[in-house]
Amino acid sequence: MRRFLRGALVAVVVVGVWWVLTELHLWSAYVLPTPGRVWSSAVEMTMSGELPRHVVISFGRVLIGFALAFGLAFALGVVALLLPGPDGYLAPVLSFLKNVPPLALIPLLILWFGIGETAKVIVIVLTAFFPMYMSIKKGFQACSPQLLEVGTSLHFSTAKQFVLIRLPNAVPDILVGMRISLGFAWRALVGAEMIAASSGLGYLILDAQRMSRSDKVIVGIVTIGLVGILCERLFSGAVRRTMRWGIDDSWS
Amino acid sequence: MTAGAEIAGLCKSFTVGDRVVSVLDGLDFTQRDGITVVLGASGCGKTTLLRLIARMDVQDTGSIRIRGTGSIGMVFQEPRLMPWLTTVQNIRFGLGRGACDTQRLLELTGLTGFEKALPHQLSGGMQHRVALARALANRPALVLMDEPFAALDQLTRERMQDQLLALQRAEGMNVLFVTHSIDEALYVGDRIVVLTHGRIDADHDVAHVPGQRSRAPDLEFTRLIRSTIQGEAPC
Ligand SMILES: Nc1ncnc2c1ncn2[C@@H]1O[C@H](COP(=O)(O)OP(=O)(O)O)[C@@H](O)[C@H]1O
Ligand SMILES: [Mg+2]
Repeated sequence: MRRFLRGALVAVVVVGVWWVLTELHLWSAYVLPTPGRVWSSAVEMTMSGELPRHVVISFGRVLIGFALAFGLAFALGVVALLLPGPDGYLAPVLSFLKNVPPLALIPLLILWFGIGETAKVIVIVLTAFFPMYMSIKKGFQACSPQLLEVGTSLHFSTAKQFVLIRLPNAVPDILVGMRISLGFAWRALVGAEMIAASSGLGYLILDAQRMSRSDKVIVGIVTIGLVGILCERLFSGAVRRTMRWGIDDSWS
Repeated sequence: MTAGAEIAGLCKSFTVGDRVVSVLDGLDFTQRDGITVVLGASGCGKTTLLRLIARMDVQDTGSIRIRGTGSIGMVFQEPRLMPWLTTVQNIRFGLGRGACDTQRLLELTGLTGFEKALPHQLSGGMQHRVALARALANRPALVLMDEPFAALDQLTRERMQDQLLALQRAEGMNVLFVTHSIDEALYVGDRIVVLTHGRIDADHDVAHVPGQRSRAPDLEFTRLIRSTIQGEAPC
């Protein structure tokens, strides 16, 4: 609650300064619309269903991309652990892709997949994949040899060792990766939608720019930020409530 | 006789850098019933010996036979509990759906009331007791213990030693107990063997030594053992 109040205080101060600046008429209403103008646009866009529709579409894309990225990161994390041979060939590919910003691939993705959902989901998958892949791999490989030896002393097979020791032991690392990826995915989504979409929050912002509606641009930006914070909070809250071990203060 | 290790001509060496270090060098040993203590200075190969008996490593030459039937339980120097499992789940770890009288084990190890606690919510001594209960869960005929109480404070260690004696009496399993402490050896052991230079060097049946199972062990005997360990250059 304390934290919420502090956040609210900061918001009030920011809006106050913003309001004073617009009252001074230093810039035109197009460069810096008044808080009141932005607020009424927000209300109007919410009532008309425009804003909720874009939020739902964007959120759906993030969920799909995030889920696919998680599946891929988990599968390749297992490969990296159990099949060092194939992983040797995979590693250079992944390290190449890691260093190419997914947005740079958009021209090709549009060429190959059109501006449908596929291109955008691929951008999200590519962005969300790497933080999860790195932390899943680390979680699997950093398992304490002492715990693994308990499995050895019980004559566990490699599979049993993995399921009963390595995997549960990696859960805190996996969750950290998921949290980072969620933020990455959300930000990448907006980028992708600004280039190749006819819906979603990124599209909303770009469309507003074309119509010279900076008040709607600000509504879009604030919505993105708030939905992002909400996602992060929900995820952290769920983790805190379910995990009884291996969770540090960064989750509070 | 019930389960026990029968070892003949056991050799094990490790390659460290470009040097070959011989740790066990023709070790012969036949375990008898009760609690057998393997006593030796740190680094003389006690852990290596237990790991070989538990088939967690492979010897260079020599044979290890486990006489009798039944499984082997292992207790490490650290509790090595799974941090995500509760007391009961840790005790049942690796049992699968196998039957196990968890309630009885909890009572025997004094853990009743802490069934749902996670390891980080338990004291050091309690964690060791969970590890002990885990090793006993599938009713092993032989339990291997590698300096299990070395990391505990003296009072807790003494309580754990008593607990071990009570458990051994209740369950009737044979124990191979590794330690570097002469006092501990005399307190828990029915028989003490000394490991030096890769072999069993001295073999004492301590059942009739005055001061056995006492916190004030017989000085004469302590001195004798000490000289066996120290007689050779420290390994
Ligand atoms: N995996 C290993 N690789 C190399 N050297 C080892 C290994 N395991 C044990 N050693 C060496 O073998 C010797 C005996 O070790 P250990 O059996 O752990 O002794 P203890 O348990 O009696 O203290 C030590 O010198 C140790 O350095
Ligand atoms: Mg040791």
